[in-house]
Amino acid sequence: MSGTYQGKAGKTRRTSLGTAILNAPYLLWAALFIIIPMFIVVYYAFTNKDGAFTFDNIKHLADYSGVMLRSLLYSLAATAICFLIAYPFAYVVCKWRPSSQKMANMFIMLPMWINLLIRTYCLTTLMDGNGLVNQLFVFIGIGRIPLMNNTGAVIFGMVYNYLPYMILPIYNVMSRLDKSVMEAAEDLGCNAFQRVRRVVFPLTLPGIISGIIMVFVPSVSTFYISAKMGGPGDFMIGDLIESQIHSQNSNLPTAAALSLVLMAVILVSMLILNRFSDDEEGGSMLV
Amino acid sequence: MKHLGRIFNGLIYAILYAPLAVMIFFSFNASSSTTQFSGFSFRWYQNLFEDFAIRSALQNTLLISITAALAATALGVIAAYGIYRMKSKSLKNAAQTVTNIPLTNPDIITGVSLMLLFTFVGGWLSMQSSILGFWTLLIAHITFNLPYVILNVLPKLYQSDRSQYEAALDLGCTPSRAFWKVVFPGIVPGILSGFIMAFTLSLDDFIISYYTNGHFNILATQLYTAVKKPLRPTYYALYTLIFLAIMGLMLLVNLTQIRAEKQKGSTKNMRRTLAVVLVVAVALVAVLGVFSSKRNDVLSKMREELEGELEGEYTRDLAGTTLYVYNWGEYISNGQDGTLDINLAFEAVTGIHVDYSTYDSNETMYATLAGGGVTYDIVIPSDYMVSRLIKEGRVQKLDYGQMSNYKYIDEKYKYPEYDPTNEYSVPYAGGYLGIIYNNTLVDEEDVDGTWSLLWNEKYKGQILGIDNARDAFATAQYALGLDVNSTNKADWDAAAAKVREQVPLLQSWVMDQVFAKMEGENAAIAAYYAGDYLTMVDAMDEAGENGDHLSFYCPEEGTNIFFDAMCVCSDAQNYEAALMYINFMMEPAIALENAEYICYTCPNTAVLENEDYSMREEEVLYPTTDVKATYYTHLDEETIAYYENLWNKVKADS
Repeated sequence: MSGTYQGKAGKTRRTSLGTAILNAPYLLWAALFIIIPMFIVVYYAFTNKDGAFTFDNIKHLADYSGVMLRSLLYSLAATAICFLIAYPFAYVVCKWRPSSQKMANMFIMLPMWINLLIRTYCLTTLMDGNGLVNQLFVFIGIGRIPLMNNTGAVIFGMVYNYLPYMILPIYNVMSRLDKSVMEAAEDLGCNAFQRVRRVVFPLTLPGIISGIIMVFVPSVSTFYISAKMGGPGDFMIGDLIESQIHSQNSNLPTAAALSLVLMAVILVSMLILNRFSDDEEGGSMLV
Repeated sequence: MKHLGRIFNGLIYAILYAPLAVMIFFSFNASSSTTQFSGFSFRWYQNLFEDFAIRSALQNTLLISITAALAATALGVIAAYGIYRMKSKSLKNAAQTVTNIPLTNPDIITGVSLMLLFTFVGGWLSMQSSILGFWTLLIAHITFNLPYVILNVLPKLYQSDRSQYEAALDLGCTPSRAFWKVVFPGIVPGILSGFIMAFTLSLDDFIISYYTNGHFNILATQLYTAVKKPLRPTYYALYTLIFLAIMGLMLLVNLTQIRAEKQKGSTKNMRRTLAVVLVVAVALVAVLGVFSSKRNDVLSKMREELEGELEGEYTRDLAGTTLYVYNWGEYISNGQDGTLDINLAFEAVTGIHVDYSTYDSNETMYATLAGGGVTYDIVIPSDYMVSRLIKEGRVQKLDYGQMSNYKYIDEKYKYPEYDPTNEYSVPYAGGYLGIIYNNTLVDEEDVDGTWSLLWNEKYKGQILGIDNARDAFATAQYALGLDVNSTNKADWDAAAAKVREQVPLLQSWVMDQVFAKMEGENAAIAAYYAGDYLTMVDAMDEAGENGDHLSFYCPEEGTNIFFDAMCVCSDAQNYEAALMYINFMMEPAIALENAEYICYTCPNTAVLENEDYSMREEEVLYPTTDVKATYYTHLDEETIAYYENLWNKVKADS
């Protein structure tokens, strides 16, 4: 930081030069490891194995439209369910004493410290055909119920793993709501439902939007949860990218084209979301 | 209403914590099962402190997380301050947009794009050794940590009062002094939470690490291989300890904060909390350090035990070097349950450290070799893949004169079809592809000795598909009476159509996951390898004496016989050590330990003639009646591309 001081220079020049020096390392880093890799993906997506320009990789993706649609539907479902759970959950927590709120928050974050792989593995030992839940079902006479290896299980796996990402940003915004606004709404004759719909919901929109992004992005691109918990028909776009990279005729151009589509899908969803919120700080409310 | 809210939240907590409760409960299981509790024990905790692989992965994980979090915090604070001071609004927006990219990009894209960058640079520098490793992993972690630090610090900067900073300047402070004295104290909470978030994310990341770690094994990448099989409760023990430590720490932090809010002395308490966190981290590393010293004791004890047991000559000339071995998962005796840890034994004798990683299909192995970015000394692929590697010059000729134990390899395995000149490979183990079924779930009259069991609609939802193109199509080709080595596209189309018929009946596609599915009796029928059937029986007997529930047969229409062979890569960095390792694997004493552990067909005559070898009369491995079986051969590029494409479509369309 001491490098910013240019003793004899004039004050304005000093600050702008200082700012440039401050910014240089990060901009360099971002260019090398964020921007250039993106261009490499684009490069692979539009070249064939010999390095010549082609649209074939993109055209080829028509074969996989089913997989893409499936990924989109599954992750939208998971995001919606997360929201439906997280919103009332956060609402209830906000009514608690501040110290209880802190504890409630901590116990939402705590499972995230345990690796996703092991959490999902434990989940499968519960839900498998002869897993612990089914053992209980058999014991009390209900019999085995297929809980695993179907679409429901994939969506449940996503909800289970990513729910905290929805709860935390919503809670963060909700807990900072001005209580007097609520009281004003009450005084003006709003009932409980109207208060939520007309006052709380609009004010918590930034939190909802960052929650949606934080759940949707990892859901739509997962390759572990679908492979582990899905059936033979639950192949997702992440699985496809992974299998293109790790196959015998390692197919980087197709993997890159798929990645490009995935990025486009996410970009479009973000643009749609941004129409609902003009609060730039929304994205920063992560924890 | 109030009660309803409580009940609802309680339910959510219960669901979130149920899997963790299972983890903690089964970490105390007396058997290795994660679904059948057979008594209380500390066995897995003891195992945890004896497991070098887990410990080194844990050390690597901590090293990466702490270094990456510190570096990202330093760089992120500078960046945030720079962005804060930017005058141009558009520049500011641009910088913030770039910052948001890693946040909103899916991990798989961040990982893949960085991998492409690194391998591209590696190829450009024409690097001889792996470019993927500690440094690339560190770069990747710093890159995805940075935005979180910036986004935690930036709001605090905007909250700070600019006029105070200017006042400090007017009073004669240098800008840097003004920053440290005035701005910095205000943003400390942001820096701290940024650091903690960065550390947490690093610790938990799997996908980005998976594409960029190369040889540098961390817990998450190791877990990815481990969770495919029934997970050893050792990992449960490890994560139970981590869970309890973190919970303790967070409770402490929260309680001090709650108390601080009452007393209004937050910075002081913040510092105290930070001090506690640091002390705990240092203590953790110190504890690990204390345990690390044990490794040398184990090595020297092992060396004494092996003295006189070995026939070959092993020098210690290469002591201190590393040998990179890339093998199938669960395919070497590794020290579990009192068996011999062969890689450790090799290190004990030669002083050469074995860096061991695994794959779950020939295709994955090939893609890794071909992808560049990471090099290996030894690979152990199957026959047809050996041919391909020979043909493409990816493996090199072996000096058989340096391998005195080669004489123990059975003559019938020399000059194999896949290595006709017998110059490139040494057979490791082999077996047959066949059908494993659970005889308590499948009616005996449905077992007719053919492949048709895999297409029996009665067992819808209980059949497991084999998750690699070659084997999956082969089951269909054998069932249809087609040649598995056909180059006729129509044959592959027919096989694909047959597999499509099977898809609605499948529970899921599996490779190594087959163990958990069959051992846990979650599925009834699977096509898999003979040796793994025996492994499953052993595991089930150990967990609850249910091994006799499983049966195996080679279908009468014919099946695949395979042999995996040890090869030395052409870009191997440690050729002499590689030969020594292959020779070591053929040692009668070592080969016996290994054959007992992996349960595959052994090509070593010293083992086959040894009365102590418990599986020498095992029908599944050494059939006394003729089994109709063919090897896969290496097909031409066009056919491979054709069937792999068919395969992706079969999986995508279903």
